[in-house]
Formats: sequence, structure tokens, C-alpha cells
Amino acid sequence: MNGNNGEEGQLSIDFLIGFTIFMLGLIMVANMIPGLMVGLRRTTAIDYDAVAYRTGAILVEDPGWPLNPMWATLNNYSIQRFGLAIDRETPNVLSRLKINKFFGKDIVLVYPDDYRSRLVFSDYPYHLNITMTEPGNSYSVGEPLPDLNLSGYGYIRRVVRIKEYPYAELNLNESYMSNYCVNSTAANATQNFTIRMDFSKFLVKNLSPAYQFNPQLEPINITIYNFGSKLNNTGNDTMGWLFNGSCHAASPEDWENANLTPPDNATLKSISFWKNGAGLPVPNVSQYNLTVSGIKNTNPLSNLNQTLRHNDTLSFILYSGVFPLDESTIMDVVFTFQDTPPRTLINGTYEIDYNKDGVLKMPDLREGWLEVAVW
Amino acid sequence: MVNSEGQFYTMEGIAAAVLMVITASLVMSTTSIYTSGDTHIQDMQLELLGNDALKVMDTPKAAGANSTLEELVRDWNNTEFNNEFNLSINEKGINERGFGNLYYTSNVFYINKTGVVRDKLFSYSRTYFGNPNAVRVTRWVFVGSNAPIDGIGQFSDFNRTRNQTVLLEVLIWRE
Repeated sequence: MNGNNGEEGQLSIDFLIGFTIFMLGLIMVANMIPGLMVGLRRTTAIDYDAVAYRTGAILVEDPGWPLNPMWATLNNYSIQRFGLAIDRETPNVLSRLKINKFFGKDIVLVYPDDYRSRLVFSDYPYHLNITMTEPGNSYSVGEPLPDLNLSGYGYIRRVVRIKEYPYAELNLNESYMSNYCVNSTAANATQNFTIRMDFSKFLVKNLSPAYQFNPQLEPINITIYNFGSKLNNTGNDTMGWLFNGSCHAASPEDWENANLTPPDNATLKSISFWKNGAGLPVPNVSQYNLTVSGIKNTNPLSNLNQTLRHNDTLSFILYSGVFPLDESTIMDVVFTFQDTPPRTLINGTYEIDYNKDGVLKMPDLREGWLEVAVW
Repeated sequence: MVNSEGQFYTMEGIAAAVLMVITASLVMSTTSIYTSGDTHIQDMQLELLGNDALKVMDTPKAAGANSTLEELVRDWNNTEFNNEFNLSINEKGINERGFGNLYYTSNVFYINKTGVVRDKLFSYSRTYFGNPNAVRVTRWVFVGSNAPIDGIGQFSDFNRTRNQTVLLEVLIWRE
């Protein structure tokens, strides 16, 4: 036995009281800490607004990936990231081609898989509704919106401008076409009229991409009309033209004297493409659209045999991405007319450029609104 | 056995507890800002929308042209600005969140003849009475030296001896 009567191993009652008070204080403080966060707490675990914001920013401010060739000219498996901007330096200015592709007008994109993996970048199965509104038009991808009062959704709205496709419009009756006359003999019945596009003149550094004609993003769209002014029956020249070549048309009397019927039409034999002087393969029928006064011609481009009358309007669109084109490309679109004797009076090369004869039309940027809802 | 050794533990416990509670109370009372959880998001949405609207108005529609915003401020055309800006921020799409009832007021800051920065009310869809939830977006607009000219002398003190880039400030709020 020692002097403490064997009580050394026991805690004193005072220590227990002190320790208990300390623990009570600790518990009180621990309970206070969550209260600090009350003001910042959301009702749901996921910040859908942040996801909507991020998705909207990608669509409006990013051109997508890959850049070259542009994702909008590829099939779905090659697309890595959607982005509708024309260029990263022109946020809020969107490409018409990319809008069409994204909203599934030209290629088949499957919701939700294609969109989640290339736009939201998350394993979480977000539901999306992305809507583009233009004056008088609205289209969307995704699912119908949920009831806002029941579950809610994250939302963002962006104001944008939309760049429409440029197009070339050649009026054969205009003075700028007066020098493009035929200089052939009756034996040379084939006449080539070439429209040249030098893309180094289009993709210039001192012009914002929002106002450039970009062959990667935009179709080659050519309209030619007023063929009557270049038919070989409108001139007052003598018979000589028919047989020894001239830049003047033969009159109806000339044709009559030669025992021939004056034509009221010409024949467009083919349309071919040349890049930097080398011939390009003939596009297949799904890669272009050729209409004459609204009627579509589905013959192969190498053998069109398209009749063109006085008042016909020829409209040819070569869709983007058919040929690899860049700023070093000089592209020739050759319209070949073939009749014996010649019925048209048009040949030579017309080069399209900004502000030249008003042929290349650059439509104004259009307004639009892009909305993203995520839940 | 009774002695005073245990007192030490009790006083320590009380002191520690009091210290902790006071510290926690102080922290809570000084750093807590009581806002609803989504307020910052609504602000961000309005700010983004306002910035977008000004940005697209400041984007010329064609190469070489002036932007709509530049022309409207230069001509002091607050009616047309009201039409365009209101349409931009209030266009109803899929939303059901009250994005359709946004209001704004705008001021232009410029340098007057004595070199002092002054401001004038430009355009508004509703008079601003200090709405606490208003967000502010701004845009610099180049107007040159001869403008704005409104024809009724509002800018009689505009310093026309130098080119100016004025600051357009827009307050947007929801009611």
C-alpha cells in the first residue's frame, strides 16, 4: 500500500468536468461551421447554370476542332469539339455552315451521344436543349424543356451575329461582260467560260474573318443569267462570223442565209474544276447543286447537256469541303458550252474579287440568339 | 482526499471552450455575407447578355462599314438604340425565367471643353431609381471630333478640338 490509497489510476472528478466543458465547447463550434456556408449553398448538387454558361461559351466563342480541315466539313466521327464561331478572333460571329451542321441540317448527328461527347465533355448524363433563334426562324437540338417549377434547369442566352454565305452573280448583259466574247470558228464549237477565284485575294490579313469569303467554310455559289444577251443570234454582223470567227453575233438573217435556224438556246456541256492549273476530280451529285431557272439537273457534271434559253438563270453551288482549298489556291470553275455551230458568244476568264463589278455579294451579318438549357 | 489540483483542469476547460465559442462567433459575424445562392449567377447572366448585346451592335454588318453602335451614339439616335438594344436583351426564346422583362438605362461619358469628364443620359427603357440588382456593362465608342451632334444642343460642351472615344455605360436590371 502506498500513501495514495491506490487511487492513482483514476481521473479526478475535476478533470472530468473540465474536459467535458471543453468538449461541449468544441461541439458547439463544430455545429456553427456549416452555418458559414448557408449563404452559398445551392438547392441542388450540380451547378447547371455553370454548365450552361460553359456550353454557351464554347459554342459562341470557339471555332471548334479540328480547324483545318474545318470540323463542319468532316463526318461525325472526325469531329472533336463543336464551336460555331467563324474564328477565335471574332467571338459572337457565327458561321452559317457550322450552324447548319450543328443543328443537323446537313449531316446526321445523334442526340445525345454526339453532343455530350463533343460539347459538354462530361460523363454525367446532362440533358440539353440548344436553340437558335433568328428573325422569323427558330430551330433546336436536344430535348423539350422540363417544367421550370418542378426541376428547373441551367440557362444562358447569347446574342450573336450570323455570317451568311457569299455568292457570285454574273449578269451577262452588263458592260463588264462585254469583252468576254467568243473568238472561234464554226469548226471550234467548244467554248469555255472560266470563273477564277484566287483565294489569296479573299483571305487577306487586313480583313476580319467575319467579312471574308472563306472557301473552307462557305460553298462556291455562282449564278449566271441573261444568256439571251450572249446568244449567237442577236448581232448585226455579216455572215462572216459563222465561218471565220469574230467577236460579233450573227443576226437571224445570217443564219437564214446559211440555211440554218437561229438558236434560241445554248447547251452547257459540262462544268469542271481546276486547282492551280491542275484538273480536279468530278464531284459526285451529292456534292453540288445545279439548277436552271429552279429546275435541278442531276446529270453528271462531265456530261450535263443542259439547255440554256434566253431568260434562264443558272445557279451552281459547290458545297464546302469537296476540295481541299486554302489561301494559296487558285480555283477555276470552267463552264463549257458546246454547239455546232456555236450558239453562245462567251469565253475567257473572269476573276472574281471583292468590290469588282459588284459580282461577289457579301450579305450583311444577321442577328440571332443562341440559348442553352442544361438539366 | 480533497485538494486544489483538480481546479486547474476545470478552469482550463472553461477557458478553452469560451475561447473557441468567441472565436467562432467573431468569424461568423465578420465574414458572412448573406446572399441567396443563385444571385451571382443571375448577375453573370445579365452581364453576359448586356455585353453580348453591345458587342454585336458594335460589330459592323459589312466590311468597311461603321458599327451600328458607333452610328447611333455619334448621331445621338437614342430612339433607334432603344429599339435595337431592347430587342437584343428582351428577345423571347425558349426562356421562362423572366428574361423578357429586362430594363436598362444608359449614359455616355465624354470630355467637355474644359477637359472635365461629364456624362449625359443617352437612352433608357425605364427610369433608374437605384435598383440594387442592376448590373453595369460598358463599351468604348469612337465618335471622332465632330460628334455627337443631336441638333438640339445637348452636346454644346463637347470638346470638338480632338477625336474622342466616349464610354457608353448601360445599367440593366430585372423587374
